[in-house]
Amino acid sequence: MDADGDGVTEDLDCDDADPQIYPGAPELCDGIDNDCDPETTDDGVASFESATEHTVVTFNSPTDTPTLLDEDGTLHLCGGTHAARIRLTASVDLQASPDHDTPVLTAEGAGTIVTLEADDHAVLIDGVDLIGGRSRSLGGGFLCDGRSSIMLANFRLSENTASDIGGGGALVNGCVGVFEDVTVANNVALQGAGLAVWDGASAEVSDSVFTDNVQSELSGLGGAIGVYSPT
Amino acid sequence: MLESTFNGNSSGEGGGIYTAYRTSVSVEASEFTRNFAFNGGAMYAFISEVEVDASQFSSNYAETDGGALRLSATAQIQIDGSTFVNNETRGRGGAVYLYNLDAAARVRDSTFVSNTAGIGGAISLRDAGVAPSYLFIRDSQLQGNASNAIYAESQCTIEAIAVTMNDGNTPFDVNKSGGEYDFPGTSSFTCGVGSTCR
Repeated sequence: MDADGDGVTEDLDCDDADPQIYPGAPELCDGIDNDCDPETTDDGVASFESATEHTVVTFNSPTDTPTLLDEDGTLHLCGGTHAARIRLTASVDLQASPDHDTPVLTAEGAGTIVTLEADDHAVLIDGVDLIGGRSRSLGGGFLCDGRSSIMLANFRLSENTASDIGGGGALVNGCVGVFEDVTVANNVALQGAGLAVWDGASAEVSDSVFTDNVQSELSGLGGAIGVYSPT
Repeated sequence: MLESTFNGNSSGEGGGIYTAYRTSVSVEASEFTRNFAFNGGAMYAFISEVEVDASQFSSNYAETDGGALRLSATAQIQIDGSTFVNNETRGRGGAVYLYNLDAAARVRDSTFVSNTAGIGGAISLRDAGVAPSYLFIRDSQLQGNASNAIYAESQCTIEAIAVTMNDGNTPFDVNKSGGEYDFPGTSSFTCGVGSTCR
């Protein structure tokens, strides 16, 4: 008998009520022993959960095209370092697994780590550190460009660089950002080294720390935060 | 900004925060420490609205003007319940430099201690000679700032109510000509009810 329809009968399936769990199943970042083998953990695993399915995510290399997430849902990130650049065109939450160490997303200097370029979406980044992003223009760690909202909480935004605006991150063109319990440290840009709030964007910041953010040429605007709306 | 900390950040203008062009910044219960800039060690605001409430500014440094804050052409400035300690600039305004304001600056329930500047250890106020700038300061204390607790240039008006300016401030000074711009010195200072000024 195979009650959950996952192709494995109940005598071999360690959970015959859940089709995501069977011997040989891919480990998801869900805190569950998906493959019926306690020796394999979900450390370093990324998985995406939509309304209809939960699947493992394999990121493109940071030097390749950014990994596109274009469906509403949650990207679960288990502890460890995930080398990736992620492009969002939907409402996606990036969530750390509560059962692991803080996961790190890094672009290894190859580009912006998380980019949201769309209107009318809501993105949450919770407990996922963004480290080692690099942009030749806007937003080293993250870029929110458009009339969407992004909430960032309980994480570290550090060692990111932008050649122009927003070393740690940039909110532009009407994006609304909310920061809670965020550490923004050691980021570099010409303007808004830690965070840039540009061109009609807005930000609310609470319980956060901005430390040792530096302008690349010490001739620009806003070491920790730059707020600028020229039109 | 609410209950946040800015420490050791640096830039050309606004070591902690730079805000400009019809923007609005509200800072509440936050701390700015050891930030550096050429102008506005902790914050630089230009054509903006600025509200600072219950915050602390300490040991920030500006090479040119505004050890902690440099606020210019701003539509609204309100500083309430805040403390400025050991901030420094070589130029104007060891704690706060106010330049060419579009509306009166209001400082209330605040403390300025041991700030240092070339001109205006605690606060320096200056206008561009086009329209006067106003500073209303009340229920505040200025102690041990050098040189001058408050320095006003050009045609500024300062009114102090229940303000204590003694305990080691070097002499208070107004009605000076405007440095390199050499505006006529027509500033006025009113040491109002409950104030001790010297």
